[in-house]
Amino acid sequence: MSLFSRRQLANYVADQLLAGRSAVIDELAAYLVETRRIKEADTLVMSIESALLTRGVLVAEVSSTRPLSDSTRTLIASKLRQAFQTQKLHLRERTDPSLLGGILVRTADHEMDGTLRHALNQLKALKV
Amino acid sequence: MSELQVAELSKALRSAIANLSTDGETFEEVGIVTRVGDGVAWIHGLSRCGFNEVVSIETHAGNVEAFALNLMEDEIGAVLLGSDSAVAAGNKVRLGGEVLSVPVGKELLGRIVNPLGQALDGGPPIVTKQRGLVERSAIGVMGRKHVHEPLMTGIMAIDAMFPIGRGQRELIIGDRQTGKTAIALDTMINQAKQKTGVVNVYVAVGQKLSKVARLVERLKQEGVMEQTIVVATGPSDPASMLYLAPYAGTAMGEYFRDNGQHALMVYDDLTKHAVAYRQMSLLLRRPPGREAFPGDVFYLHSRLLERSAKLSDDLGAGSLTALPIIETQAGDISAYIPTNVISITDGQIFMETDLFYQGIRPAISAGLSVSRVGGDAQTPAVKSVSGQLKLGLSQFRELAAFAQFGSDLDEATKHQIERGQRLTELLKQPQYQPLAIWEQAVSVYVVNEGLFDDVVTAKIKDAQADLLTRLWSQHKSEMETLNKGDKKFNEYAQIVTIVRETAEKVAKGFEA
Repeated sequence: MSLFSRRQLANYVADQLLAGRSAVIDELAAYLVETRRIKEADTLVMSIESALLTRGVLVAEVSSTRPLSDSTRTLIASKLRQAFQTQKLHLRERTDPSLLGGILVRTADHEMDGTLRHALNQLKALKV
Repeated sequence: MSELQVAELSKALRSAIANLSTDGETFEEVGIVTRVGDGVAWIHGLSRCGFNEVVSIETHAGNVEAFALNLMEDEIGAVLLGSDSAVAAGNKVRLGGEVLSVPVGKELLGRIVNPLGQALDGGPPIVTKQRGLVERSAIGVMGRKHVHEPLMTGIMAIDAMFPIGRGQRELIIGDRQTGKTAIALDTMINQAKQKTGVVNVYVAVGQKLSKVARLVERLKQEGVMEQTIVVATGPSDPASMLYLAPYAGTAMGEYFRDNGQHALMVYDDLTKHAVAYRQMSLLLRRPPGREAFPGDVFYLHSRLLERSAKLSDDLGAGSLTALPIIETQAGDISAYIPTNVISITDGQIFMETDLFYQGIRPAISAGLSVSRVGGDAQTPAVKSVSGQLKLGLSQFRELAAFAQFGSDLDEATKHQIERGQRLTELLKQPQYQPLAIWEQAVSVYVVNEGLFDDVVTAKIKDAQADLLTRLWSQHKSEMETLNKGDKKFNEYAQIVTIVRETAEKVAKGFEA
């Protein structure tokens, strides 16, 4: 069996997903098990997300210390659409108290760290 | 647009950039470390990363920098510039947005630094106005001029027989413990003794730090350290540092070259450099070739040594001379790295173990050494006397095998052998005692002219020392004229008479 690169796999899966074939996930899982590449699952997901972005679909994860209010969510969504020039947006929300405050927005290849934890870490690095 | 506005354009753009409002945080491109080990980190993401670009890895113990050498479809292989102990899979990686550069400038003189330009001598941090690119392409054809000024090493065997010019690349090659570093060190010392104004850059690639410390101590003793930069890496440094050291040192030397000054690079040694690059390449999973070196090991050294040049007058006529050092195994100059570097450089000085143990030091092999471009650059006074020196020595080499049958030889042959033995004796020179132009010219002249033919071979050095002392104490101003060396020796008629008369007097004191 020939080995496909992560990028090839990601492009294929992204195309299939956009065509509405959700069964492709099962196929991918089987392929990874078969080729003993389960370890690559996380990075593959990131690759698929970045492949989706080049096709105009943005997947972003928003982490904050407490659940987002509707107005914040709308604001973040509009900012994301503006920054990445896309219309289709899928937001994943996560709460993480260790961020201390603020929000962390992460896409496949980019992130915007506006958390208190990050600011404090930067301050610490400056001191050292 | 009015003239005033055009003149202010750059200022306006700069202030616009400074005042650009970015409402708080912006999106940054980030990648993650997927694997790490042996000083190499494999990174996922960062699709806009360039070749040789610096990336910064966020670890729990602060940021670690690396430079991207393998850009592949799915991942980036980056070589760490620090310890890999804090770097872990999952660490975030950010683009630095620039390729590697080091601080360059006069501020580095007298300092010992690592390949990133950080002080290793315990002195204050190094702050310079400029930075130089570690990887920089060499000057093109039109920016160069032929090598025509001498770079005096102060070692008579080299200056007389294998002269080096400013902008030349002359390889010093030989087995371990044959005095390779000693030649480079003497050359550096000579630049201070003769006040040539040439800046020395000594690059230690994976040298024992005790050796570097000893060398620095000696440079300080001789008063050379003020015009020297030492780029030091030890055996315990990561391979990436050893790989970068010669390029970083060259960037520091290029500053002087580009500002109309002259600099001398000593790479000690390129064998260890190639080995460090081999280690990096194998860990980056590049395919091994001959002796397991990667395919581009020739380019590794050719692009480094091509940066040494004599610049054209338009570019300020500065120069960068290189003395790369290569260590051979059991005198084998046909191994991979030695042949590569021999073919890149403009000649080589070959050091022989046998000569070294016969007491002929510096142990320079007259037969295998060569200087391909230095002839034009040789000081006329030394050049006019050295032609006969080379001839005398090569005739001696042919006849040397017969030397043991002393009594059975005809007069002419016997004479040639004796002259050869005297010349060999004359070319011996203790370490740290480089000779000035006049000393070299006078010494070679008197032996060639047969003025010391009555001196016992073993006493040649004593006679030489006596002659030089007498000349300096009694005829200082004439010797200072000769030291300029801009005419053939015979054209200094008055000096020739003085030298002949003094030499005859000296010779009487050392007869058998």
